[in-house]
Amino acid sequence: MNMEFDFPTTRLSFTVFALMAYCTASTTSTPAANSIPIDFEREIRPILAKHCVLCHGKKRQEGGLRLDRRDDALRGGDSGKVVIARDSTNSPLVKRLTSSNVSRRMPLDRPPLKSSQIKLLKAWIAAGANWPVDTSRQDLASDHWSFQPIRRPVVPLTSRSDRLIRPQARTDSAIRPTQWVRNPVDAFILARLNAAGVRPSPRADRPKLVRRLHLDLTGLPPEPQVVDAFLADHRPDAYERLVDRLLASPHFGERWGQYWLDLARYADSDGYEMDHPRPNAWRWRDWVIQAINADMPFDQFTVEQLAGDLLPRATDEQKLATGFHRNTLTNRENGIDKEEFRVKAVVDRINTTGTVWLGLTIQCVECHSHKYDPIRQHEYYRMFAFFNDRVDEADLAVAPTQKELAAFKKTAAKHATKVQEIQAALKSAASADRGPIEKRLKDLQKKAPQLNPVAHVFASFEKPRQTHVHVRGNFLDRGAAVSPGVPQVLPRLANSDSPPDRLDLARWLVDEQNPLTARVEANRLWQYLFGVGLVHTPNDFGTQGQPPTHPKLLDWLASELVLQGWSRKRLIRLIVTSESYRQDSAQRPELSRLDPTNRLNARQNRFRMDAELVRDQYLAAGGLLNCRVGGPSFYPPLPEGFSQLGFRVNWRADPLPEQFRRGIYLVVRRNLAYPMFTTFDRPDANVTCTRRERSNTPLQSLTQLNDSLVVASARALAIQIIGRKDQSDRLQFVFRRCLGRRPTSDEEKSLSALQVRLLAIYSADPQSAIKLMGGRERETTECVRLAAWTVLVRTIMNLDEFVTRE
Amino acid sequence: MQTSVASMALEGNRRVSRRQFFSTTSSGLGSVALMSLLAHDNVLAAGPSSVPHFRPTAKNCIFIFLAGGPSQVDLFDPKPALAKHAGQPLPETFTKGVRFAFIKASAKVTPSKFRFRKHGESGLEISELLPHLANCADDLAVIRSMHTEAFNHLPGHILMNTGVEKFGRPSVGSWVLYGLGSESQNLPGYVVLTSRSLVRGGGANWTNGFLPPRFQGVQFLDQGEPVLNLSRPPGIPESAQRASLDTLAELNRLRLKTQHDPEIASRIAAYELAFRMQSAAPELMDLSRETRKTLDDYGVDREGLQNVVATADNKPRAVSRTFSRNCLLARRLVERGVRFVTIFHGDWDHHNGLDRGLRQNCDGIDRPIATLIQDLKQRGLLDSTLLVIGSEFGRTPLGQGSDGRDHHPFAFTTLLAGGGVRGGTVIGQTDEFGWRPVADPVHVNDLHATLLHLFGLDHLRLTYQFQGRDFRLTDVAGNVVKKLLKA
Repeated sequence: MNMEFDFPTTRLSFTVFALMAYCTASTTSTPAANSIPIDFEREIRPILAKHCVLCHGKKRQEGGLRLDRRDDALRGGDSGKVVIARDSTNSPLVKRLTSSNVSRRMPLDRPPLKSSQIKLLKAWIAAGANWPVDTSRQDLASDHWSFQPIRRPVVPLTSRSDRLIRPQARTDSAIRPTQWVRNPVDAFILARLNAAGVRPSPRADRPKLVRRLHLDLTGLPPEPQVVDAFLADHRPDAYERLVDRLLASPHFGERWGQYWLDLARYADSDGYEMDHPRPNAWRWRDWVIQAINADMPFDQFTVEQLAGDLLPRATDEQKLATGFHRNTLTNRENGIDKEEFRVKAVVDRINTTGTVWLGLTIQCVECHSHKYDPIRQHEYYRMFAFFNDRVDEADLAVAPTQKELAAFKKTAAKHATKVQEIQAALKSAASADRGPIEKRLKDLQKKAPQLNPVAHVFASFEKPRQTHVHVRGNFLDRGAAVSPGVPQVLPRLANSDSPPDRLDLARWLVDEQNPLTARVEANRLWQYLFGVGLVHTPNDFGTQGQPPTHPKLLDWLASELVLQGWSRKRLIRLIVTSESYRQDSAQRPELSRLDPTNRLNARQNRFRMDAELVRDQYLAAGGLLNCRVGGPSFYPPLPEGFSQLGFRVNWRADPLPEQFRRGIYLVVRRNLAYPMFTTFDRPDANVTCTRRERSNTPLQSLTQLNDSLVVASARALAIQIIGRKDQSDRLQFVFRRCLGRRPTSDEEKSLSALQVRLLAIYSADPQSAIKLMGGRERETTECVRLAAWTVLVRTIMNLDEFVTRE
Repeated sequence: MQTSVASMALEGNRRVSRRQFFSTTSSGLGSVALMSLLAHDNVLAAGPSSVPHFRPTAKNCIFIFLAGGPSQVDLFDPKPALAKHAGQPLPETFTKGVRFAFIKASAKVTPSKFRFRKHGESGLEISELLPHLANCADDLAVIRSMHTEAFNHLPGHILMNTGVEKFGRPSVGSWVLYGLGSESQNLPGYVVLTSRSLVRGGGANWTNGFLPPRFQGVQFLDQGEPVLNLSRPPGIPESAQRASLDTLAELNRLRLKTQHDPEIASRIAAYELAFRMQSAAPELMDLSRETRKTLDDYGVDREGLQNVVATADNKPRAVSRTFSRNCLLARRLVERGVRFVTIFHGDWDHHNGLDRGLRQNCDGIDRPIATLIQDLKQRGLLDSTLLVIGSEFGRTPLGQGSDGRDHHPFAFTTLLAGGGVRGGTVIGQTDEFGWRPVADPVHVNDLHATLLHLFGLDHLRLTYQFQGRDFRLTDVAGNVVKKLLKA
């Protein structure tokens, strides 16, 4: 949606730029009638190469200027264009070359250019500054921003005085960095705000902050005591202490693990027609939660996810990690061509790898060379070869859980008893009758219960396959044979003696030469903390994606991520302790024209929580949430008749305490999604998802009003008002449990009025009250009172704020 | 200032929601500025153009999906030559290099057991299994030359419903809704009725894909409430619900005043719409005002064995009676301005038990569909309502086992009626075995291009940008089948 509204403007600017470039090119292709056309490659490029490129080239870009590549040169430097086509006198390039001020004249500290050279440059500019597109070069490299090496940008404040970040024309509105900047994140954000003449938003109030932090880091609402403790903590580092506590919470891995599950298209079933359950899938899910809780560095995490089995002396845990790409769909429909669906799974692995680590739309290349990005079709199949040639799916024996063990012991004991019974029968039977009994015994013994829990992993394949290009993406139409390799536009694989394998690929992804992975991951971390990334298209860092709103900040964060040993927790800590993060999220009507989508980050964003969190909020507020971390997925109850929609689904809801576990543990059946989650935009887990949609529909309203889980949560919270001293105390209590803050006086007034209305309604209709309270053994008056409170709590639980992270 | 922003937000959203029930969202962050929403009201309400590209003939669509692959040689594409070659394998030129799901190339040609007769002024040939539908011959356009790539069910379902044999693309109904919006105020613009049938891939068949979620199909359930959570919880009387909603709106408005987030206004509107839906949906489902004759013609209350269809999971389900009711509901939905209705009926995957299976299934769909066509016609709705009756593929003219046929993607039949389609027409022709089209082949993408055309939408221009590329329903193919259009 965001994309929908953002696109027109960016597209527009893209088009305008492209159009301008086009005009430049086309007008200059007809040279002035009275002069001989200037040959750029022969006459102009050598001058630039010899005199300018040393400081304005690949290695250094003084003043942000590069003169060795067409697009960069025509775009200009930090201070703007240096070549103004058809206006050589006013072109800064010429001005600086001819300046009488020695400290400004280019090349600095060197003899000036010859007048003939300057004449040539002037003539070139006057004729339109035609710089032809060099196709032979573009084949090998790309000028696109995301393919360039990550250079750690200088932080606006620490390097130079605040002169740089103060806008020239609007000095009065500029904020002095010392007033606001807490860490480098703020310096970059403020630089852009000041340039636009916009002040940052004030800091959010403390209750809002403490709730925001809890939701962002653990996905759970703060307990009122925690809010109180924070409000009462006047130490200067109270906020940082809270951050550290939450980063260390076991629930951190649940919240941040969910993001990874989305990327991994994690599910507890096969997909396709049969959609068989995958009762072992959760073992990999738990690996993710634990790894994130332990802050496993992202480079190591990557290597283990893609190639843990290939590490020297790989542990079972490292093998288990490779379950990442075992989340692909499996088609068990009868009559299929198995090879076709094996290939489909491999294709999905390449596409997912491309999206998750490289932020590239390489799925386009399955059928043809990329139309926009410099990736050719055979390169796609070189990537494909990593997951095709010497790898296969495998099962890894794992230790059973306590629960599995207990269940096994039970069935094993039952079985043993039966065997004994038959054996006894055999002994006492007449010899003529023994035949059938012996058979029964044998059959039974064959069916002895077994406990062989496994995890789904990758393993090397003994018989290598040969990968071919699939012509137009058709796996039956084999083109040229290819060996494993990476796209040429990106850095090379490290040299090795043997042909490269998955491990080499994984290491290459997190090599510091790789320009994409760190940027893509840093962008995602930002996205999870602001609701939207610095690059608004987390799945497309290619030329058709949106450019970053803060390119330097993105690069700084990417380099910081690497510098901090790929620690995600450290980068998250850095971001959440910035003032930029702590801003209020209220929208600013005065910015609605200038910055409607908050690209400047002049405030925090307000956004509806993800589906699992919505459910968690209800259970947590009602005090029903079962916070146990990890273990097999649970089955919630489904509405009547709903499970019929799946194929041969044997859906048995788990008992109560299990049912009230967090949403991340709720079973993901691909063909039978939990309706509340579908309503709140949980992705279907068929393909990788880098960013969830956030819709706002009447179906959500109906769920929040009438779903039995919501009513149960409201009732559970309402019951807790018993014993509280007065009306105001009760109201404060339920309100804070739901929203983490105290009601305003207006809110209190409005809710009290509702309370009066509801009491009257239920006093006149005690039967409804008894029904709502589940016919518990309570006095009728008590039922009436609690029913009124239940409806009141449910009202609070339907507020926009309740499901919104502010 | 603040108050006026808030009230404008409300007003803006009310306007929007009037136009499109499920479009109260700006899903991204709520940060799409209110002002720009108001300025581009049209954009929000109806995707790229609430105005079609050219004059439409169809306003609504009812897509009846006979899931599993009905046997076209037994129903719509008579092949007397099969009798001549009965018991022989097909010439090798036909089967060379062909992949089958179950049978081998050596399988035997198997003629249909059912007789075809000419019907209506057009003389359209239809199987004896569908006597009522045959009475509508002059309203039907029969495409006998449909073909697809997918020869397994799920990929076939996905291709027929989204135009591409891959997950993640928007469904036909979502594209139409994206192009035109909905005219219903109180009901979703795209409703899916599954008739308790086996629908392979479930929601992937009515997904919004990468389009905004408001364009996704909303499944109405076949038992209990049509929409989940439509009824008030037990023990909350209407008065308490209303009191609760009033306070809710009041408190949300207070929050809007301080947070200025148009998403809050959207949520207020969504609750009001939900409240209206709580009465609109039961009104829709309440058939008590339909005449006895109408109910009987559709077969809403049919009893008996013939209503039971054995599905692939061998659990008998009362598919047909539910299907009858869904045909009637489809008409009621269209009357209420719902843009797109998909009804599933299955299972038609007759690898065995073809004879009994076809008889049962045809008995289940014949009269309800014929009644739907007649009913729409009588109410003057057929001209503006496009009816599509089709499947993911057909079945082989070769037999499987003693009484079955295998999947056949190379040639199958799709029926159209109403919505500007030329009735009493046959499009395309297959060879003497019904193996492949020999004239006017129509690919799934061509069917979709034609469907959009009938809605006044150019399939090449109805695009959505995702991951840097303009996507369309017809992917990189599709030609409008001009012969289908009324002159």
